[in-house]
Amino acid sequence: MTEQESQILAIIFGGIFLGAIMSSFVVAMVVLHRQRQVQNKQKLNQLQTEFEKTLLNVENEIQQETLTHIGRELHDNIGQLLSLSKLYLGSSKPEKQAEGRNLITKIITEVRGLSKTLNLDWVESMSLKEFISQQLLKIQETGFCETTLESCQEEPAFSKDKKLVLIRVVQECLNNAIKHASPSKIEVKIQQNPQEYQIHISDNGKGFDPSVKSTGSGMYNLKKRMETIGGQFFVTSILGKGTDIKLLLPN
Amino acid sequence: MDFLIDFILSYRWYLIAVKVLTLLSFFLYWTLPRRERRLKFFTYPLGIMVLVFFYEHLGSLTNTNREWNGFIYDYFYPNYPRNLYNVWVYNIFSNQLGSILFLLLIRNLIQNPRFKRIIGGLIVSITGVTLILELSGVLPIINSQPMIFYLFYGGIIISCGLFFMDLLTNPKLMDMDLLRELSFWQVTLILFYFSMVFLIQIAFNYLWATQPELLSALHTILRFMFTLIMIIFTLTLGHRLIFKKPTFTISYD
Repeated sequence: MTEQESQILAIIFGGIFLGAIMSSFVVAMVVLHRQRQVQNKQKLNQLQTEFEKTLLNVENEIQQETLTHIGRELHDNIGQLLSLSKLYLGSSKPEKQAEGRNLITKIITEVRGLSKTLNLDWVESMSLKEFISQQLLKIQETGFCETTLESCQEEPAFSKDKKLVLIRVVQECLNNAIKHASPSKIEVKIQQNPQEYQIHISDNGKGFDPSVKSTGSGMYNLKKRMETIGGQFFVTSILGKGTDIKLLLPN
Repeated sequence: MDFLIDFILSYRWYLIAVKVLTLLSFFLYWTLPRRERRLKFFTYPLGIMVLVFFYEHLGSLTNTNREWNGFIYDYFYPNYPRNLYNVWVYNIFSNQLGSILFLLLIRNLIQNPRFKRIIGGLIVSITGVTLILELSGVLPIINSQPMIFYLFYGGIIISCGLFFMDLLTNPKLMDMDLLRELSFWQVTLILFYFSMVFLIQIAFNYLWATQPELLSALHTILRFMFTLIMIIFTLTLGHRLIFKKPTFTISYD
C-alpha cells in the first residue's frame, strides 16, 4: 500500500468514526431534548391544572363572602327598610305613604347594588389599586387601625383570572393582619419596574417568629396561589415589630 | 483517480472552499433584510468567515514568500533566530482572534445570563493571560504556543458544553425543533472540530515523530470539518433563500 493510499484509508476510517460519534451525539441530544419537551409539557399542564383549581377556589371563596354579605344586607338593611315601608304604606296619612314610596325607591337601588356583587364583572371594571384603596378605607372606617396606600400611576393590564387571584391574596393578607397582628397601622405600597409589579403590605402589629413552624396552611396557600399566577410571595416578620409581605409579579 | 487523491490530500481544495464559501456568504449577507443584518447571529459567522479567508490567504502568502515574515522578527523579536516561519499568522488570527470570535458566537447563542457571564469571563481571562504571556516574552508569537492554544480551545469546548446545558434546561428553548435549528448544528460542529483539534494537538509530537501520514490524514479530516462549519455558516446567512421554514426559533441578538 502506498503512502497516499494509507492516508486516504486513514481519512475514510477517521471520517466514518468521527461521523458515527457525531451522529450518536446528535441523536442523544435530540432524544434528551424531546424527553425534556415532554417533561416540560407535563409541568405546564400541571401548572395549568393548579391554576384552574386555585381560580375555582378563589371564585368559590369570593362567592361565599358575597352570599354572606348579601344575607347580612338582606337581614339588616333591606329587611328593615321593607318592614318600615310596609308600616308607612299601611298608614292612612299621605305623607307617610310618600315616605313609604321613597323607601321603596331606596330599596330598589339597594337591591340593584346587591345584584351587581353577585357576579364577578366588577373585577374587570375595577383596578387593583381601587380595590386595595376600598379595602383599606373599610378597615379605616371601622376605626380598627390607620391605613395608608402609596402607588404608582400605571397598572399593568392583568387578565381577569390573574387579578382575581391577586385580589384574593391581598384580601387574605389584610385579613390576617387584622385578625392576628392587632396593628395600629397598615401600609400598602404598589411599585412597578420594567421587570415586575410589586405589592408591599406591612403592619406594625405583633409579628411572629418565622423560624417557628406554623400549624396552619394560610401562608403556604398564599405562596402557592402567587406561584400559580407566575408570581412570588415573600414574608418577613419580627416578633413585636410587625410583618412585611412582598408580592412580586413579573411583567 | 490519482489526481483526485492528490487534490484531496493537498491544501488547494480547502483554499478554494474558503474562497467560494466566503464570497457566497458575503453575497448572502447582503440579501438579508436590514434588521437581520444587524443581528450578531449573522455578523459573527460572517466575521469568522472573513477572518478565515484573510488568515488562510495570508498564511499561504507568507509560506511561499518567507521573507515577508521578516518584519515580525525585525520589529518584535530581533534577538530570536530568524526562522521565518509563518506560525505567527495562525497564532494571532486563528488561535487567538478566531477563538475569541467563536467564543462570542457561542455566547450569543446562549440564553441563560449566568452562562453568558461565564463565557464573558472566560474570554476576558484567557485574553488577559495570553497578552501577559506574549508581552512578557514567555510565549513569543513566532513560536508554537501550546498553552495559549489549550486555554482558548478548552474555553470553546467548555462554552459548547454550556450551550448544550442551556439547551436542555432552559424552558424557553423547549419548543424548538432541534434538527431544524441552525445554532444547534453550528455548536455541534464547533464542539467536534475543536475537540478533535485539541486531541490532535495533545498527540501532535508523538504523531509527528511516529505516524506523520496519520497526522496528515487527521489534518485533512480537520479541514473537512472546518469546511462543514463554514457551510453551516453559509446556510445560516442564506437561510431566507435556502429554507422555506424558519431555521432559528429564538430571537438572538
